Parts: sequence; structure tokens; C-alpha cells
Amino acid sequence: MVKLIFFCCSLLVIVWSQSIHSFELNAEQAMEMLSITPEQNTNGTFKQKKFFKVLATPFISTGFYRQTSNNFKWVTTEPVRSTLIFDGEKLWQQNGSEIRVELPLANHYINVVKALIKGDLYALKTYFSFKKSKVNNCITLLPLDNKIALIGESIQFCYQGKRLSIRINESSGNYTDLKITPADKSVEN
Amino acid sequence: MKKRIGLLIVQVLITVMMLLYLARQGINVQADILSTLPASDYPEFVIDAEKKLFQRSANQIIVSFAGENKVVAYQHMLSNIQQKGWQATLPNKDRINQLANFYSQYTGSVLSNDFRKNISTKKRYDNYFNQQLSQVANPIVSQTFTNDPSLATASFIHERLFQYSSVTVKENYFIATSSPKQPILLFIDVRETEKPPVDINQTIVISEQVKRLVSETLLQYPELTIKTSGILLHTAENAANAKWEMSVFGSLSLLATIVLVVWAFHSIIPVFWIMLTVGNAFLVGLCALMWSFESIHVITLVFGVTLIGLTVDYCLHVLTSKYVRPRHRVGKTLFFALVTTLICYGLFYFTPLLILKQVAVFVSFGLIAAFFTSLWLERVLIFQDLNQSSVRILNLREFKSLLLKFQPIVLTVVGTIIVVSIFKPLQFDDNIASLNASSDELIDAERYHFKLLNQQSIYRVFIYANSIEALLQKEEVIAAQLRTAYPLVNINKLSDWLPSKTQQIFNFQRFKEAEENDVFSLLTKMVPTFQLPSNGAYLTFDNFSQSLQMQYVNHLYTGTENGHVSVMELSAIPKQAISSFLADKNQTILFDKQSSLTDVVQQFRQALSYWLIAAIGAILLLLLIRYELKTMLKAAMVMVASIYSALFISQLFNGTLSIFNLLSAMLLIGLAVDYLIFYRERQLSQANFLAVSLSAASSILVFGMLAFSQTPAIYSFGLTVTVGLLLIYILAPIVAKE
Repeated sequence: MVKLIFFCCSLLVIVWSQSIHSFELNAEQAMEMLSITPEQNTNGTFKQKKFFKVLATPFISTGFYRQTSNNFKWVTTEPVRSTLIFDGEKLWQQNGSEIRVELPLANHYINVVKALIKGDLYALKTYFSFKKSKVNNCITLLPLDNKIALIGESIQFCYQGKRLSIRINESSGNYTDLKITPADKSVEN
Repeated sequence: MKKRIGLLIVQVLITVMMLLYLARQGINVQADILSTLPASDYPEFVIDAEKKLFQRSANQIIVSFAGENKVVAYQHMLSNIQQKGWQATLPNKDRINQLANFYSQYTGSVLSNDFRKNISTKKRYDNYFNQQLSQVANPIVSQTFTNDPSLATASFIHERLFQYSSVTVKENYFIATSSPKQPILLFIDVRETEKPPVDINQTIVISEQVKRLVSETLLQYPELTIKTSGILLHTAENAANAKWEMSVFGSLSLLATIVLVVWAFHSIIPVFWIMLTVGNAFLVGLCALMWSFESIHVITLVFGVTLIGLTVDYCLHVLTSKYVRPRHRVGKTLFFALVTTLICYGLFYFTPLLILKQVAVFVSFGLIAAFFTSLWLERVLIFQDLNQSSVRILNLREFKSLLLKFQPIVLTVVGTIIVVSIFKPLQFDDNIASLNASSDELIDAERYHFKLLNQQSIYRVFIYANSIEALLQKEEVIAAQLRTAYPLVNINKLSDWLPSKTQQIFNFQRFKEAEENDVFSLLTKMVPTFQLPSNGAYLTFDNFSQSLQMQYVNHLYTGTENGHVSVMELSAIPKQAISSFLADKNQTILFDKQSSLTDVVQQFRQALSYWLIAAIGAILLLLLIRYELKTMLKAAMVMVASIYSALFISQLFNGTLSIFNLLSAMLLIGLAVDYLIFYRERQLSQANFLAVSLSAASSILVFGMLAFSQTPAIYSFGLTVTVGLLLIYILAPIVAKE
């Protein structure tokens, strides 16, 4: 009897581990699942909502992004103007009309953001592992190292109708929703 | 006869017993070449604090990995290091969380400079708040927002983590971002957990283990570049070098001297007498050294090899005298030679160099022991039947005439050198860096790591205060004044992490004022639950020092017997600007070990020149009292011309001279005066010429060995002594009566 229970348990563990393994996706599988093509999404707009537990209402910000040769700009226009500029080597921040200042040691963050909003799963592969999600047209991104884990414990990455929606699950139950619309689409309100 | 032998045995036994007793008390051996230098004129608190801070980093090693497979190689080495029980500093994945939890307890009291400015008006704060929350990913805001939605803690942590940092974390290792190759850095502390700091022998073992690990890793990943640096490696390299040189040079000198003696006397028996004299001198010297000093420097023992050369002289004079003129006694001459050599070495004791004090004690006591052993030997040999025909006097007869013919040529060369030196005077390089005995590889690795860690142009300012609060306030005032005068200056200091209570009260008042002025209206609208505590919670030194945050400032603070000392690290500011800024600041010192030691060496060299003149003057006075003016003048000419020429020739080899070239001049005076006295007392007799020749040959063998040393100080010393000895040997017969 004990042997039978042990056998059944082992079988269950094997089946469970196989199913876990089957959730693992590579970049090609993830792209196929999301029906996303590696197109050159060089500019567009974004709308971001921060759902922090202590906030009475979500904090909303909007803006646009633009990629020109090696230069990547992430410009927040509302509620305040703030620009992040990545020249391929260094990351700069410019608030309003102030002189831009370098943000040291944060380059890899901007690389992750750049890959996320462009839907560049090949680039994201270096920072995250991909898993299937329960939500349709979505996959889950799990950080590969502790540094990237500081951005979010996990990221829900969805693609539908040429629009990207990203949910960054941060610490303590806080999360950020980000909706990206490429230049030829109007911003969804 | 038996009574005499018994006396010597008793003396040797007492010395050995004392040595064993002292050895049981523990021998502290040092190997840092800088510790041999005179104490700089820094205040006591700086020296004390520097020593403590130096000790903290003495057991640390940095290893960098650059190139392909650097991650695998790093992991391979890390696991080996952990297996050895050494501690590796690994990135703390919970660092932001820990900082957030710790500093959010002091909301309002602990503020960053930026945040203080941002709460000055409502508009500025609204902008700041909106900018921070608009960012897609800001881990610090995310981790701190729940506990402190005002963003004061987030701003403070951001300033602490990203201020002047050149190292970032990737996966589970540190990366140096300042290099395009982005090497991985591994920080190791080789002390095994709960064990005391490693001693000098352990450093050699550990250094070998590290080298072996690096070689094994490079064998597996040959395309990698692995560099290692750390104080421990310098110590190990210097210690291993000194140990090797001490044993090899000592053994070779002894062996060469034995061969010389056997060749000269055609008998092995004189070797026994010589070994007895040298052995007894060494035991007594070591005993006196251990008795007088808390710790012994290995370089002292290397220099102490010279004792063999000096003690052999005494024994040789007794032996040649006994072989050639059995009834003739040399005791009085030996005594006069001993007194003059003791005066010369005695002067070493009054130098500010610890190593020379030790050499003075070691050699002086050794010489006294050798003198008494020689006297004892003289008495004992009266009863021995010696084979007088065996000594090689005939061979030296030809050599003596050759030497005397050669004398005018040497005099011409020496004269020419003195004339040439008018146009090319002696030049001394007092830079302490030129005395560094570490290998180029180790020095290069250290420079490379300094560059990776942005440490190459940092100046350290030591600040002392009686209380921790006074210390922190002092830091803040100095930093504020410096920033006003030099806006680009980078300052890293303890009070960045632990503001003074005065500053914390000031911060809290600003925070309260901002709240009263409605600066936080946007915040309270967004976070209705936000409330600033009515009374400030202040961070104390006790709370801070017991927290995990203390590890980030361990190199910036130490307690001393009577107070507290902190170190402010300054960069992007000229050294001259710091010096003039601190000129009127009390108990605040710019600490630059290299420059200060260079200054000390320069001052010491100038003082040593006067010592040399004084020593020569004292010896010449003794010669004048015992002999006559003519002998005194001849002796003066031999000493001055030989020493000056030896220094000039050494300069031709090295380009410049160091303090150790000049120090050798003191020894040359001691040796020269021995030869001069023996020639003046016993003329150019066969026995005397043989004794001086054997003595010079053995001394040249000993000091010539030192000229092969890898340690620049010992090499310089050995080279000048060898050249000087040769010149003195050739010129000294001038004082003999015709």
C-alpha cells in the first residue's frame, strides 16, 4: 500500500514538473503565442497608471517615446515634463527646462524599458524567462537576476491589436500598468 | 683552560635560555617596508586611526576577472575560496529593502540635500513628486513608498547608493562600470570566521594559495585576464622575499667565508673558531634585539647578515696573529676597533628609523660578544700547537705588492670622480615609492583596481573630536564650506549616512515647516493617510553602529582611546586647495602617507648628512688623540674619498641615490676605521695584511650578496658598501708607517 502511494506521488511529481516545464517559453514560442512580429516600433505614446496601495487613486502619467539611430528618448508630458535620454552608453535625465544630468549605474534599467515598450522579446530574453499566462494574449516575464527583480517581481506582457499592455508587479502588492501605442495608433483612454 | 671553556659555555647557555624565554613570550615579526621608516609628524590621533583602519583592510584581497567566460571563472574561484573558509563579499539582494526599512523609521530627520531643496516650495515638491512617480521602474520608490510616501527616504537612499559609486551589481556579482570590459570584482577577506588576523607566515601561505587558484583558473580559461591586489599580497611578497634572501644570502656568505678560511689556513679548525664567534655573536645580538623591541622587522635580520662580516674580522685578526706571530696579542687593537665601530653603529640608534635602531642593537651586542669570544680565543690558542707554515703568506706577498702598485691608479680614479662630480653632483631621490619592493605585476594590479574603484585621485582628511556628535557636526560644517568654495567637489563621509543630531533636528524643522506651508498638499490628496510624526525620531550612533548600514562606512570611522576619528574622502579638488582650506582647521588633517613619508625621508637624509660628518669628526678626533695629525689626515682622506666615490659609482648604476645609499656610508666608516687602525697599529706586516685581506674579502662576499637583493633598499645598501669596501681596502694601507 505504501509502495502504491509512493508510486502515485512520484508519478504526480513527474507530471507536475513536466507541466511546469511546458510553461517555459523561448523567444520564438512567445512571439508565436502573442502573434507579435519583431517590427521596428521606433516611436509612439504611452499611458502609465501606478497602483500603489497607499494611493487613494492610481497615479496617471502620459507621454511619448522616440528612437533615432542610437538615441532613445522617453518623454513624460503629464503631469510633469520629464525626459530620459539614452545615448547608447549613458543615461541622462532632464526635468522641465533644467540642464540634463547623468543617471549613473541605471543603464540596464533603460535597456529593459526600451525592450519592453518595443516588444523586443529577443532583447528581453537576456533579462527574463518567459512563461505562459492564464490571461489570453499574455505571457509572464520572470527576472533572471536580483538586479532586474528590483524592477518587478514579475511582469505580465500582453499584445493585442498592435497595442502592448504591460503590468509590472512590484513589491508589497504595488503594481504599474503601462499601455503602449505605436505612432500610427491613437492613444487609448 | 677548562675554566675559560666553562665560562664561554655558561654564557652561551644563559643566552640560549634567555632566547627561549623571549621566544615563549611570542615574537612579533613585521615585513612592511613602510613601517621601517621614521614616524611622520602627524598628530597621534591620525597615526592611531590610520593604524586601525589599515588593520581592517590588511586581510582583504581584490580579484578582477575580465574577458570571455569571466562569470564561470568567477564562480569557480568563489566556490574554491568559500571552501577554504575565507569570506567573500557578495551583493546583498535585500540591500534596498534593508535601507528602506531602516531609514524610514527616521522620516523627516534624515534627508538628502536634494530633498531639502525640493521641499522649499510647493511647486518644487509637486514637480519632484510627479517626476518620481512618473518613472516606469524605480525600485527605490517602489520599496519605500508604502512606509514613507513623502519620498524623503527614497531620495535619501538614492543619494547614498548612487553617489560616486563605480560598482554595480549584476546577477550575484559586482561589476566595475568604469571599464569598457566591465570586469567582475571579487572582494575576499582571508580571515577565517571568528579567528584572529593572519600573521606574516600565514600571509605567505595564503598568497601562494591565491596564486595557485588564479593559475588553475587561467589554465581552464586562458583567454581571461585575472588580476589580484591587496595589502596582504604586498606583505606576503616582501616577507617571502626577505626570508628567502636572509636564508640564501646568509648561507652563501657563511659558506663563502668558510671556503676562504679553509683556503687561507689550510685547515678546517679555524672554521670552527669562526663559527663559534659568529654563532655566539648572532645569539647575543638576537637576544638583545628581542629584549629591546616589541616586534622585529625582517629587514633588520637581512641587514643583520652584515654582522657575520664584522665578527669574522675579529676572529681572523686573532687567528692570523696566532698562526704568524704566536706570542703577539691583538686584544688592544681589537678593543680600539670595537670602540670606533660601536660609536658608528651607536649613532644608528639615534636615527628616527626603527629598523636602524634594531640594526644598531643587534650588531652592537653581537660585536661585543664577538670581541669577548675573540679575546677568549686568543687566550685559548696560546696553548694550541698551530701549523704556522700552512698559512698562505707567500701568495699574498705578490698580491700585496700588486695592490700597492694599483693604489696610485685608484687614487687617480677617485680624484677624477671628485672633479667630475663638480659638474654632475650627487642626486638623491627621496620619493618613498622608489623604495617599494613589490613586483611590477602587483603594483600594476593595484593601480588597475584603484582605477576601477575610482580611488586613484581620492584625498583623505582625518577629523578628530571628543564626542561623536561633535565629530559629525565638524564633518558637516567642513563639507558645506568646501562645497561652497568648490562646487564640483565629491565628498564621501560618515555624516552622509548618519547626520549629526543638530542636522537631524534642522531637517525635521524644515519638514514641519514644509507641512505647515502646505508643501505636501498634493501628497496628502494622493495619500490621505500620510501623517508626519509630531516629534522627530532621531537616528543615534548606537542605533546606526548596530545596524547593517555600518558596513558601508567601516573604512570612514574608528574610535580611539580618547575620542572619535572619521575620514572624509575628497575627489575632484586639487590637493593644494584642500591643504590651504584646512590650514586654520583644528584637529583636521589632510592625510597623504606617501607625500608625508617622502618629506620625512628628505628631512632625515639631510639630518643623516650631519650625522655622517659628526661620526667622521668623532672618529678622526679619536685617531688624533691616539696617533698624530698626519695619520688623522690620511685616514680622513681615505674615508671621505672612498665613501664619496662609492656613492658616485652607485649613482652611475641607479641614476639617482636613495637614503639607503647614504646609510651604507655609516657602515663604511665603521669598516674603514677598523682597517685604518689595524694598518696604523700593526703596519703592513704579513699577518696584518692577510687578516685585513681576508676580512675585506669576507665582508665583500657578505655585502656583495646584498647587492643582488630584490628589495631596492637592501640592493642600494649592498651596492654602495661593496664598492666603498673595495676602495677602502685598496686605499687603507696609506696610513701604515713607511
